[in-house]
Amino acid sequence: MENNVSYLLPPGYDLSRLYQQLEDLYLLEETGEQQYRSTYLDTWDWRLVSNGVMVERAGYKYTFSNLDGAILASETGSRKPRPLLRDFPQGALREHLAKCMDVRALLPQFTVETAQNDVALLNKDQKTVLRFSVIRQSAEHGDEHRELQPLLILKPLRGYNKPKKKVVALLRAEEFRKCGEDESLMERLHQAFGVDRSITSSKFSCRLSAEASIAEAVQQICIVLKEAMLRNLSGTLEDIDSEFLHDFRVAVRRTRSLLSLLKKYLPQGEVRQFQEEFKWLGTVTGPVRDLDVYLLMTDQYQGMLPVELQPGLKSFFLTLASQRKKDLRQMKAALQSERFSQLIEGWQQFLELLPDRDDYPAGAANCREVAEKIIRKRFKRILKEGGRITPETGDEKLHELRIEGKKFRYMLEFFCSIFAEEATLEYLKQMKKLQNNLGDFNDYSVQREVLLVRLQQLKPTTPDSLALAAALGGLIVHMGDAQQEVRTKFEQTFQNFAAKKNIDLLEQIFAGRCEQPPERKVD
Amino acid sequence: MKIFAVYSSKGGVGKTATAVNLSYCAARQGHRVLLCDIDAQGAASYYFRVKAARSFSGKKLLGGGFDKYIRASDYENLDLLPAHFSFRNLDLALAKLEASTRRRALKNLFDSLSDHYDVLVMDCPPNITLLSENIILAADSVVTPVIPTTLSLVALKQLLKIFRKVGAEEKRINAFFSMVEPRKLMHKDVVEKFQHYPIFRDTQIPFQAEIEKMGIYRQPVGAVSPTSVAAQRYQELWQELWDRSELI
Repeated sequence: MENNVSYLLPPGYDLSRLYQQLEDLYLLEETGEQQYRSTYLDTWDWRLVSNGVMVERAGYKYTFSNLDGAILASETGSRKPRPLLRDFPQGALREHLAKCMDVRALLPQFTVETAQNDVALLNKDQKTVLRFSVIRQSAEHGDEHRELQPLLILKPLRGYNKPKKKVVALLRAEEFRKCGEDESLMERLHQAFGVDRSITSSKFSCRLSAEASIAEAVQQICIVLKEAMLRNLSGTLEDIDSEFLHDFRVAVRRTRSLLSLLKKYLPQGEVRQFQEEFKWLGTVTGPVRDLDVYLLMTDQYQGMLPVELQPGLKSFFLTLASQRKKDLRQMKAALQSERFSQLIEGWQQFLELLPDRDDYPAGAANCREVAEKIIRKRFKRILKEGGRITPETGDEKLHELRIEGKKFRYMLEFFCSIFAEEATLEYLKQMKKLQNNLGDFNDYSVQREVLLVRLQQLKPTTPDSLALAAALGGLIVHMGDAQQEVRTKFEQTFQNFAAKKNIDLLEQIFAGRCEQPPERKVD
Repeated sequence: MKIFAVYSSKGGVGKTATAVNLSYCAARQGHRVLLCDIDAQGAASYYFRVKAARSFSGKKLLGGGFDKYIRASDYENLDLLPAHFSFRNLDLALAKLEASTRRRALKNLFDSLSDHYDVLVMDCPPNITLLSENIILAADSVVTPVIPTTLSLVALKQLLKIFRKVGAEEKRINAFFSMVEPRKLMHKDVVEKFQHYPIFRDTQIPFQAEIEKMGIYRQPVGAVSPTSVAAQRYQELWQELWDRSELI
C-alpha cells in the first residue's frame, strides 16, 4: 500500500487551474463528495496533543489516533459532555487515555466542518492510476471561527509511479507545499487559533531581570500567580476536573509563601491584610480539595484491602461524595463573593503600584541579592532541621521539614531565571526526591488521622457500619505500615539530599549568573 | 496468508470470472488481497484494465523479483500481479529449476508476500503440467469450477488424480457448480447426482448475463450490479470458501 501525501494549496488558489492541466494528461472522474463534522477533544492543558495523540468524538463513539491519523482505538465510551478517565469502560481506549489524561477531563476543543471532494485520474483504458481528495475545512474553538488552508491529499496507487511523479511535478510548479510532519490537523488547528500550550501548563514560569528590584520581581511573580488563579477559576466553579482547584490552590499557596518569605521587603501593613485574605482563600477551598484527594484515591484504597473488606468502603466514598457536594456549594459561594472579587481587584492595584512606591525603601533592594540571601538561609535551615531528625524524632518535625522544603523550592522556582537555570532545574529534581518522601509521609499521616476520626465516630450497630469499620480498620493498618516504610527511607533520602555534590550544585546555581552584579541601589 | 488457486484443466468453465469476483468479495470484506494472474492469456488482468510492464517475465516471477510489478486495482485492498505473455513458458522455466525446489517453487515464492496480504487468489491456466502440480502444492484451497456436464466432470477426475500423484490432501479441493442452467435437463441431473459429494460446496453460480458482460464493463459483477443474483452468489461462495479455509 502506498502512503498518502498531503499538500497545502497556495493561498487563494483557483483549483480549476490544476484541473485544466490534469485534463491534458488524464481523464478526471469525480468519485465522491462528502461533508462531515468532527469534534476533537483534549484536556484543558492539551495533554493529548502534547503526547502526540488525538481523540475524535461522534456521539458516544471515540476514535483515538496518532496525530498523523493512524487509529489506535475506536470504541464507544462515556456519554458525559466532559468525561473523566473513570467514566470510560475498561478497554483499549481507556488504556490509551490513561497514559496521557491522568485526572483531567476531556473537553470538546475543536469542531471541524470538512468538505471533501474525491477525484480519480484514469488512463486511456479508463483504469484509475491516481486518486486525490481536496479537503476544505473550517473550525470552531470556543467562540472563535477560522478557515483552515485547503489541502490536497494525494493517494498514489501501487505500480503507478509515473502518474504520481507527473502530478507531484505539476503540484510543485503550482506552488503547492508538502505538509511537514509537524503540520497535522491538530497542529494546524492550534496554529490557526494561536493556542499557546504553555499558558495552561501548571508549571511556574516567570522571566526576571537580575537587575530588577525585589519589588519589581514580586510584582512580576505575583501577577503570574494571580493570572494562574484566574485562569483556573471558571474550571473550578464549573467543577470540570479536580486539577483546576488544585492549580488554583497551588497559585494561592505560592503567593502566600512569597509574601511570608519577603515580608521584610514589602509594605508590611498592607501585605498583612492580603496575607489574611489569601489565607481565607486557602481555607475556603481546602475542604473540597481534601475530599478530592480521597475520591481520586478510590481505586487505590480498594486495592489496599483484601477483597472481603472492599464492599465496606462503598458507603465511605458515598458519604465523601455527598459531603463534597455541600462543600462545593460553599466554596462556589466564596469564590463568587464580593470579598473574593475585592481581593483580586485590590491585589491587582497593589501590585501595579508596588515598584514605584517610595514609602518603603526596602523594596528597592536588588532582587538577586535578596533571593540568594533567602535561599541560602532556607537551605541552611533545612540542613540543620533535617540533620537533627533521628528515628526517634516525632512526626511533627518531619511535617515542619516538609513545609520548609516547600518554601525553599518555591523560592528556587520563582527566581530560577536569574540564576544558572539548568543547575537550578537539576537541583529541583534532587529536591523532588526528598519532597516526595516527606509528602508521602505526610499524606499517610493525614489520611490515617482522618480515617481514625471517622472510625471513632462510627456506631457499629448495623451490618453496613460494621463492614465500614472493618474496611477503615484495614486501611488504617495498611497506611500505618506504609507510613513506617516511608519513614525508614527518610534518613537515606535526606543524606542523599544533603550530600556534598548537592551543596556544590547550589553554589553553581548562584555562581552562574550571566550579568555582572548590579550596583547596590538604596538599601 | 491464505492461498486460493482457481484451477481446472478444462477451459471455459468460468475460472477467470471466479478468480476476479472472489478477489473482489474478499477485498470488500476487508482482507488485503492479491490476485495473481498466472494465465498467459491475461483475462483477469484485462478485466481489471491492468497491463503488465514490458520488462516483466515468467523468469522474473520465478526469480522472486515480482514485487515491483504488482499494481493496485481500482478497488480498495485489491492488488493485482498482471499476467505476462511469457507466462506461457512457465512450465519450461519451472523444469529448469533444481529438482529439489522445482515442485515447491510457487509456494516458496508466495511466502514472501504473507506480510502484505491476507488472501492470495491465483487465476490458473487450463492445463495439466508441472505448473499445475506447483499450484496444487502452493494452495491452501484449490477452487475448481465445474459446469454440470460430463466433460467437466472428467476434468475434476483429472484433478483428483494429480492430487493423489503429488500426495496433496483432497480436502483442500473445493469444487462448485458453475454456469448452471437449471432449465437444461443434463445440468439438473448432474447437479442432483453430485452436489452431495463432500468435494462440492453448496453455492452454485448460475449462468447469468451479468457475468458474461464482465468483458464489456471490465469490472467485477459486484462493482457493476451489487444486488444482482450473480454478485450475491459469488459473495456466498466466497464466504463458504473462507469459512472452510478457516477450519482446515
